[in-house]
Amino acid sequence: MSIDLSQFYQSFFEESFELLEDFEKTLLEIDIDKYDVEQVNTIFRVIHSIKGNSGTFNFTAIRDFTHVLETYLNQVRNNNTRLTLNSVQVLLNSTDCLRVMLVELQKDLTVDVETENSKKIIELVQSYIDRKEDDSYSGCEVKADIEKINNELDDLSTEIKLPNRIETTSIRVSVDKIDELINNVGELVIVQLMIQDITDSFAMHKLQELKEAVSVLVNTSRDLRDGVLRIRMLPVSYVFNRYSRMVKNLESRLGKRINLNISGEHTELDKTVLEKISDPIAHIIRNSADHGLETTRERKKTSKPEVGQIFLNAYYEGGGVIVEIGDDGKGLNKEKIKNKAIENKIIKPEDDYSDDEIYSLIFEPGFSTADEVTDLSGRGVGMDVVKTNITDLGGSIDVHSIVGEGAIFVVRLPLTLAIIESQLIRICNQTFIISMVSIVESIKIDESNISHVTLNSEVYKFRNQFIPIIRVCDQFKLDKKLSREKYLVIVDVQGKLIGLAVDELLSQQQVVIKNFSQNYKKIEGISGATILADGEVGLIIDVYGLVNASITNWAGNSKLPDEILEAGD
Amino acid sequence: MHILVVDDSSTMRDLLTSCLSQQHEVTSANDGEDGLNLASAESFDLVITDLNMPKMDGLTFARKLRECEDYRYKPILVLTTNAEIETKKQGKVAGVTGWIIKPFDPEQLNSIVHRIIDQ
Repeated sequence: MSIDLSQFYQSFFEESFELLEDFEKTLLEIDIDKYDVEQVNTIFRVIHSIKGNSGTFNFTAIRDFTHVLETYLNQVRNNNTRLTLNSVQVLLNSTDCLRVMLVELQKDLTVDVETENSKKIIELVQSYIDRKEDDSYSGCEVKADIEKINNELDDLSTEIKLPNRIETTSIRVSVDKIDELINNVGELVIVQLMIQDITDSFAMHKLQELKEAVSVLVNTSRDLRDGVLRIRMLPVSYVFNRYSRMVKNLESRLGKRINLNISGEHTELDKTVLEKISDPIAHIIRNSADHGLETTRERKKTSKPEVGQIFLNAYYEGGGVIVEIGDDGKGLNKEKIKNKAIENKIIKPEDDYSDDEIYSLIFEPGFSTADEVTDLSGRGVGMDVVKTNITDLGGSIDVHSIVGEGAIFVVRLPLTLAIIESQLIRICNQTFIISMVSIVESIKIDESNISHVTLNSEVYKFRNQFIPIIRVCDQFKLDKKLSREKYLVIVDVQGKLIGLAVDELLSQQQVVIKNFSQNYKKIEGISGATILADGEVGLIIDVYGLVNASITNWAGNSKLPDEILEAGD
Repeated sequence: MHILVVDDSSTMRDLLTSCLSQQHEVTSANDGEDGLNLASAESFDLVITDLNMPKMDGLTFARKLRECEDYRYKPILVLTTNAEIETKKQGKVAGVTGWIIKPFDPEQLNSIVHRIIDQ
């Protein structure tokens, strides 16, 4: 009797990849100052299992590699040595290395060889093992050694190309979501049969029946559409999880202690949006770690906790998702930003700016305040690129900062790029579209409720509060003669109500967003267009952009006019 | 013969099960705790266990098994990569019958199992 081992290879690879996930996850959770036995046992066990299995299948390179790791981890387990920031880093690198080896081996079973990286890692880990046995290291030697290791690590991290975990061509969908779709398709078939049946022998008395069938069709197709769109929705943890590892790397490179707090990782976003914000968010985190957080010494001096915190949070707001990236570092340096902006002729020295306006200057092209270009953030990619990437997605980014307490970046993103629930409106004989999610309600204008605050600004008395009015036809420079503003569409912009004066309210419907081609100049306040049922093109109003654009005309006050809002009754 | 295989690695469980199931009935468990539950519910003729497992390791499992009336004299084999003297000593105390050292040859495994049964 003989057993063909090859039938177990697939199982071996799958299990190994799963085990490595556990290994990496546990390593990332390890706090160098106080890790517990169970954590060490877990990482030991993973390596032990991979070693045992690879030995059984005669994958010698992987077996030998894991054997060295196992020996080291066994010493840690027996308290002969402790994990260090460096060794955790090396172990993390070894997961990448193992993944690469496994992937190569899976592709071609004859490629069971050491790689340059695996050799280096073995050498490093071996040095940890040897050091334990030889305690005669002088302090100076140890320091030099650590520096050497750090240099080696830098080499490694640049050399190791992680197998890209985000595949642009495929998507993992839960069976539940697919079942739901199949269910929807089933209903669609039934309603199609119903309609066919009615129309096959149609008579006027069947009209009511037909109407009912069509309304079922409308509902079913909407469910189907929602279902299909939901397939594209992925929890943000899909990209957030990668940042833990990145922060760990930053920690050892910058020599700072950093803790990454992730919350709201179950918030779902369109896959395309998610993929496109992955790099901008990574860049913001790198910036926070590099420029935002102080060094451990500086933190001690200002009696802050030694470990710097970076917060990453996601939640739904209105029709979109907000991602916040914050830190408890020193905050943005207002003077430095201002001076740099003056130097770059972005602003004039005599101009007066609010704090937030100055902070937002960091999104200007070619802006960098770092005194010296560090390895991390100073790679020529500025915050302006981050901002462009986010606005290209139909999102926006703001920054708030308090000196000595930290800074927070607020990124607003649309849930999906394809379809929106919308209100069709008419202004000067043109049809525009406003996303339903930003509309609070629509009212008929009562002229007696309008008051003029200054020459150009008007407010509307709406349930005992005064809200600013934006006359959309003025904003878009439409022909004023055609305008007969009768309705006020009240929208919520960052928690503040604004009234948009429009001529007519038309139907509410879903529209498919079509992006403008690059040939057209970007119009402030218009985010895209759609083809309406009658074939006409309707422009989609970007409420946030429209309000922002009109506010700049607002007597030099770039913020929403609080004083007007609070004028009261 | 009814054999209980205890290993936290699914690959190992699959491999052992298919090696042995050509001639025996095989049941498998993820860890010592799981194994102990199965062993108390059913009477196995032979137990093969891994050493390093979460929740309950192989030696603790063997020791607990020996405390049960039913398993006082049943063969318990340990499957391991670690064949150090110290581990073997601890195994002897725990009541381990024999050792199979990984990596093992499936045919060798079968002949060991046969030898154990014939004894």
